[in-house]
Amino acid sequence: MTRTLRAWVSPALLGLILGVVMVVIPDSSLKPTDMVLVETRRASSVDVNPDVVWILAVGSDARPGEDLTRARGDALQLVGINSVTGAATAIGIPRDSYVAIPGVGMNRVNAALYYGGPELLAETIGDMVGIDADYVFVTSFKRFQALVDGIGGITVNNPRFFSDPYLKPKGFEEGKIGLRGYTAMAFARVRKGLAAGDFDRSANQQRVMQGIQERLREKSSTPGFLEAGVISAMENLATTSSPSKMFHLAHVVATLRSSKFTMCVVQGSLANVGGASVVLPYLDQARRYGDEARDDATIENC
Amino acid sequence: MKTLTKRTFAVWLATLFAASALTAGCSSGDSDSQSNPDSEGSAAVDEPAVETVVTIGKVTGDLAEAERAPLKAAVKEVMDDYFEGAYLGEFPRSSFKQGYAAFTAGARRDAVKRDAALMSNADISNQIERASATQRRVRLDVLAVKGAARGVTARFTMDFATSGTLEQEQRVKGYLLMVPQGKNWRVFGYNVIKGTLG
Repeated sequence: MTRTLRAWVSPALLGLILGVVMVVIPDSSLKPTDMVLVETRRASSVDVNPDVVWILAVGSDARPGEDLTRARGDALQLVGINSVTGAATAIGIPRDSYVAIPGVGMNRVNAALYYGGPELLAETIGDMVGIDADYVFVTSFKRFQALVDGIGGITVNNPRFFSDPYLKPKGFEEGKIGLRGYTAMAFARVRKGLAAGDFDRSANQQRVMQGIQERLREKSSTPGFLEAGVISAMENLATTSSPSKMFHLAHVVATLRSSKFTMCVVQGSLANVGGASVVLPYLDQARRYGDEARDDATIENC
Repeated sequence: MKTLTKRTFAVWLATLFAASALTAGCSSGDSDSQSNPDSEGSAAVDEPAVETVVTIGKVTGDLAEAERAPLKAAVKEVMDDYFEGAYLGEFPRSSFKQGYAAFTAGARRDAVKRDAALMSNADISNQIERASATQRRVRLDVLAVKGAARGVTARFTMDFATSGTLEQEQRVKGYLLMVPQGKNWRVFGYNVIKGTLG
């Protein structure tokens, strides 16, 4: 299988990629006449080749001063976007998944970032799911917080109350809740207070992604918003992607439809390997997700 | 003071057409295609062409002053091809591909096939003889890196009046998304609305 990892970038544009932005309505800044447009029809298109683009979104546990791309991946989401149908899907990978890392051997999947950077992590997850990521986006906790604050916070739909004595002692209430940078980060990181641990956390990460998407939808019609995201990414990150390519990609994301966003998490069984608690992922399920979503970025049933 | 609106002007033009047709002894409203090129109606159609006015809107990043004029000129060329190839000029005609010369293959495919009625005047081609622009304005929101433009959102409004069986003023409004390719700009996306003015 030919691997076509095209680029890896991180925080600011990550938000753009994780968000599904509405088709931007042409703004009203060009109104030089006193006439009214009384009948309107709309056509929109954003061309990308291939039609379905796959992005591996990684939350790195790198601390300030550490290399983002040589730490461990704390959040792992493989996101597919379909520029033709406007669909998008996210496949969550539990970070403790015990899998074969090419050239390294059996280990937790998140160690692949430490051993071989974004490319090896993408290859490892590609072997699990059967999909080669076109891009890898890496962010850190701190930059993720800045991202969420930068868009004015998000709203998520929390299915149950949970808390964490260190990250969020007062907990997160059930229902629709507003999150700022820190609380969004905590919502995506807390594991111990969740019944299904790492699996529920991965689902929470997807809820945060959806919240970012909905917030971006509100702001996407602001001239310069997507451009500012690209600039921020270029200034803050090492990337092999050109500004023009990122501009193009950001607009592809901006055409997606939130109603066509599906999210699944690869399940597995808990185990102890060499004294370490790990997840033995259901690789057949991961493959099924990949097979189902590969060509159209859609999974009917998790 | 209320100024003469374009709609009023269009009605006035239509009246002028009708009057000249009657003067020429024509007996029905479909006589425009046989009108004398020297008639007042034809003179009105041949009014001075409306130029595309391109301005720089929001610039994100650093765009060198020296880059602005060349950028506007390059994008104007793309926009003029689009306006004239897709919407303006003589009708009826069956091909509008010239309007999408700068489009990527996928964007051109969608414009020509899926969105032909909005991305061109294919929908009214058989009802009109000519479409003349009354307004062509483009504002560029620019992504710039190291002094050079790397991405452009070209927001535009283009109004045109038609003559023929269908006499109407229409507006096409929206944006084209562009990235540079060598010295040229390529259109990889669009979002366009089209409708009658009233």
